[in-house]
Amino acid sequence: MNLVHLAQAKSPWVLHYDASSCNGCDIETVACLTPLYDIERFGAVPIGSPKHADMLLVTGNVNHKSKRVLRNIYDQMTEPKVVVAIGICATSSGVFHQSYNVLGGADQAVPVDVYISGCPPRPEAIIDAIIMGAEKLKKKWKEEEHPVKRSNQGSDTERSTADVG
Amino acid sequence: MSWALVGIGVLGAPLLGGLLFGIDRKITARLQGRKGPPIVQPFYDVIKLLAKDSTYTNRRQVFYLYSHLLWMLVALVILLTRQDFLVFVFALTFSEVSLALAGFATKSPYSHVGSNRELLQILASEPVLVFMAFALYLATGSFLTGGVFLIDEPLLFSYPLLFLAVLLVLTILMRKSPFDISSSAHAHQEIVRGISTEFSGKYLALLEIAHWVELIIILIIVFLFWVKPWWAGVLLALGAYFLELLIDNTYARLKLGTMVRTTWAWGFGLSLVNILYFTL
Amino acid sequence: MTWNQFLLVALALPLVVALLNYLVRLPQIRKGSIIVMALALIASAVWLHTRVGDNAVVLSFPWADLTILILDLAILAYITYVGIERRHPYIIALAVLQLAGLLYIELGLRPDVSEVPSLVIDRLSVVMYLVVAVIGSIICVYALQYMEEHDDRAHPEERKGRFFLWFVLFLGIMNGLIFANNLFWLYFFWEATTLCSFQLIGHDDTRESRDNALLALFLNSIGGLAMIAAIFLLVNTFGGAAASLSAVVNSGLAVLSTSFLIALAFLVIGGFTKAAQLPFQNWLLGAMVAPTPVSALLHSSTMVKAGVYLILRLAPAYSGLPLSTAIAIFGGFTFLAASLLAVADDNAKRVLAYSTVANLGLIVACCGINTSLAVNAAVLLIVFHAVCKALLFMGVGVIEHNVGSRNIENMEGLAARMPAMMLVVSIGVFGMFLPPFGVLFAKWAAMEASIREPLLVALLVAGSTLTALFWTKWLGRMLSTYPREEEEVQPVSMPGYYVTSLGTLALGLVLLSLGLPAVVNGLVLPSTMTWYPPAIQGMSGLNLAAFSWANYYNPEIILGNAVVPEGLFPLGLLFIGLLLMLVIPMAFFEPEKERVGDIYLSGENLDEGPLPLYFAGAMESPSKVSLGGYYFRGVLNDRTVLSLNIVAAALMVMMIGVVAS
Repeated sequence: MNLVHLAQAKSPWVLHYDASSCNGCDIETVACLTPLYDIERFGAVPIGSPKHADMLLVTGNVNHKSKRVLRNIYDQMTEPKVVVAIGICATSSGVFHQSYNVLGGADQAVPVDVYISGCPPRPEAIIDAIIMGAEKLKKKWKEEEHPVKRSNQGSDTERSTADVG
Repeated sequence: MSWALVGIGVLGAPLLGGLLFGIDRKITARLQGRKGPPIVQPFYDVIKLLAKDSTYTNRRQVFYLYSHLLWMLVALVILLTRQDFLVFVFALTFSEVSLALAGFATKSPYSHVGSNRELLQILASEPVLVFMAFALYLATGSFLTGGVFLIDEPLLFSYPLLFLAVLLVLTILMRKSPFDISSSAHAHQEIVRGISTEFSGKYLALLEIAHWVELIIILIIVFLFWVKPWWAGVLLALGAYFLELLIDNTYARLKLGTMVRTTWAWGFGLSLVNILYFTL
Repeated sequence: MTWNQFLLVALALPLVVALLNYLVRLPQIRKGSIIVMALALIASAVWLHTRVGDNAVVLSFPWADLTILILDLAILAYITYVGIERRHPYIIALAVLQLAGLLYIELGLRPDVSEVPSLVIDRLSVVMYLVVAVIGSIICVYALQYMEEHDDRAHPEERKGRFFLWFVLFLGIMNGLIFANNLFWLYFFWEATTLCSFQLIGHDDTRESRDNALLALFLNSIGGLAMIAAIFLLVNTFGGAAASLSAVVNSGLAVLSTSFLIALAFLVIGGFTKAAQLPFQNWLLGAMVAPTPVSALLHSSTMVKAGVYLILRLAPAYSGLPLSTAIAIFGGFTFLAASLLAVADDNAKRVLAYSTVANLGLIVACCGINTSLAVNAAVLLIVFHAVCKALLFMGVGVIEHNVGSRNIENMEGLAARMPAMMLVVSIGVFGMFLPPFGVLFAKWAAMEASIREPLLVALLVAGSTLTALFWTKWLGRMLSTYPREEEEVQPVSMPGYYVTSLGTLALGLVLLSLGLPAVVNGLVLPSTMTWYPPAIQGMSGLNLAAFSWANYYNPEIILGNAVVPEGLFPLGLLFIGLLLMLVIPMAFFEPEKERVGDIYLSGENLDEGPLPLYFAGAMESPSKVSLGGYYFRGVLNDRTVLSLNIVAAALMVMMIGVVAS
């Protein structure tokens, strides 16, 4: 068990989804990969397929179009999984709050485990969030003893959590 | 070599392969001026994947993934017991074909692209390996891998061109740039993840372990070019490995057609010329 | 059972059953008589196997020589008539030339063939007879059901009667061909198979099928003419006693006499046409328009096998000559070219046809290599290829009736709709190119035997790699299902005739591969022992005779490091691998504990339509996922075919040049 916990904390594979970001947070997220910040030293690797990913990094507001996609990607990830909302838009929709074309933060579509504010957040903050998320990964696995999760597809709206990391 | 040693080889190969992958990631990171993950990182990854929930898209996908790993191990046993090299190539092909079929088993655009490319990778890499079987026979009088242990001169001296062709093909087998076409390594973005797009959890772990075994098989192939003294072959294998890492880090991915053309023109040509030269 | 009784079963019974079906046309009689015949043929094959020892059985029927000649002339006259009716000048010319040649030999040269045995039955004939009788019979049983479903427009019973007339007759004629020793008899059976295939290919009576039947007649007439030329040369130079296949094989005259050598080359070219080697492959591809049992029969046990059988039979005669090398290179080229063309085709039956051409090319190449190992590999390939191809064709026939298409792209997702067929076709396809099945074993032996011709090595290496490509591509299309498709689709049920025939063959393939040592030692080695004694090792030194279960995986040999054999097929290890491949997923896979995931479509999956295969495309419009295989049409097109044919033709001209010089 301890070995599994260690492995889970040391190997968060991240999937990055841009819900409708201005690309500011995206650039900072990609900056984490550069030699200067080198997120791979914590075992985190950006990955293309949600089926491989442990962690979903969401940037930008959730709007009417991106909500379904975000939900679908989240559903395709397998347990244990965590969601990290990067930047103020993904956290609470920031300056776009209550705009006609915006639904809100990432928690309007999927349960979010870690929030980081900032416009955009610094790479250090993003790395911190990823490591925090990785810790939550092993907690989730322990809590649930990896139960069978049936696909709960379909869009049940307003599933936010107040779980702020 | 006894059966116990073969057993140790089969169990040890994935461990050693995983460790080498860890070293690979470390060296790659250093070449790029990064700190890089710990050397045991591949083991963290696989343990995590094994503990993760898995989804599958249909049962045949699972079946062919197991088959991929299994035939990779069969190929390894054939090599370790110093058996017929041609049969080894066939077993390796079965393994690769299984992987392609696992990708095809899902009606997913990404894994289909990956599988089609995997087939072309087989097409590109297999001829040189088969030529190597013939080279073994011509040099030792036996198609058995065991033959190379009975001759005094390293195979490399009689088959330098074939060795170059094998190096060319190693890039494909190790799934390194410029020929990491069907499914790329970590942090290289691909059309999603090619052939492995639809694999998750422990099934992805199976694929990773199969890669580790494959790496050991590849290094043994290089080792065969210089088996006496044994450390020369080990150095040769590690040298080839490091060379592949350098190439991986200095080349961008090439196109599919370029891969097939290069290997069929150069790989096939060099092997054939070398074998013709040897027979004449 | 005496020999005469045996011949009654092997030759006369199919004739009687054929005529009975043509005349009576009652479904019960048809089914009853054909099943009885199938069982009788299989029983006679087993009897023959136990009866024939190392010494060949020689049977003479001089009284039948005249009948054979008259039938020969009748067939040629009929072919001329077809040529005139269909206005095909080449067919007329070829048939008239054959007629003239035959009449000149009989009336002008007046050969005395009374001393020539009509039929000779040796171990090689036994192997061929087993293939024809067993596999041919199984295909007959399959055809009973298939033709029930086959669309025959008006007068279905009459059409079926006609179909089974030629179909069953084909088996009898093939039996005659593999026993024939008198070259005039051989020629008669040779032409009769041409006639039967002409009738069967044209069975559907559409424009396409009639054209292709004519093409088959044309190309096979070239082979007929080559054979007449060979007989003429032999009889003209050496007299009537030379018109004997066993005399040709055993005379050893090839090194002494040029005309003998040229006659030999003509016989081999006759074999090339029957075996659909490049550039004659088009008749076999065209023959795909025929109902599937015909394809299965043509490809597995009759017709094309007649071609390679003749070349294999003659192998000792040209052993060690430049002609042999030329044949090897020619076969190797056909292997490569046909594999290449198979990659570019999306018609399942044509892919199978190209694969047949390729494998026949490999058999021809083995005959050309002409060592003990190679020739034994050729016999093994004949056996296993027949089993695999019969299985695959019959499988594709069932699929075609259910899907309504032969196109590989339309077979997508068949794994869910027809799981039983998927299993059968998978076994057939795996049997064609993966360990530990018999075809791969034969291919392995062929490749290891090819070592003495580096050029041939290159051709075989390239060809065998391409083989893996087109088989996997096809299997991949069939496997491709969307998640939960099995649960939503009702599998198609199979009629009993299909289950029996396909099940027997699939099981037979696995058992034969498992019993490879028994097949090698009991069937294959004795069949070539006379000319290729195991004691004299081939050039590569490999010796199949040394193979037994113990030696297939002998730890003393391998691990002890003391003696290194020249090649070893670890059959035991590979079968353990196959067994684990089936057992491990069953042991570790718990489907109820895991969930079936949707496919990844960049998160744009929609639940529209009956299938979960829609995604939100441009402007949110629902778009369906559609996938296809790679066919490389940009590289492999008609021009490739043309240039390959030209190279093949050039190779054949060079072969004759080699002989003449």
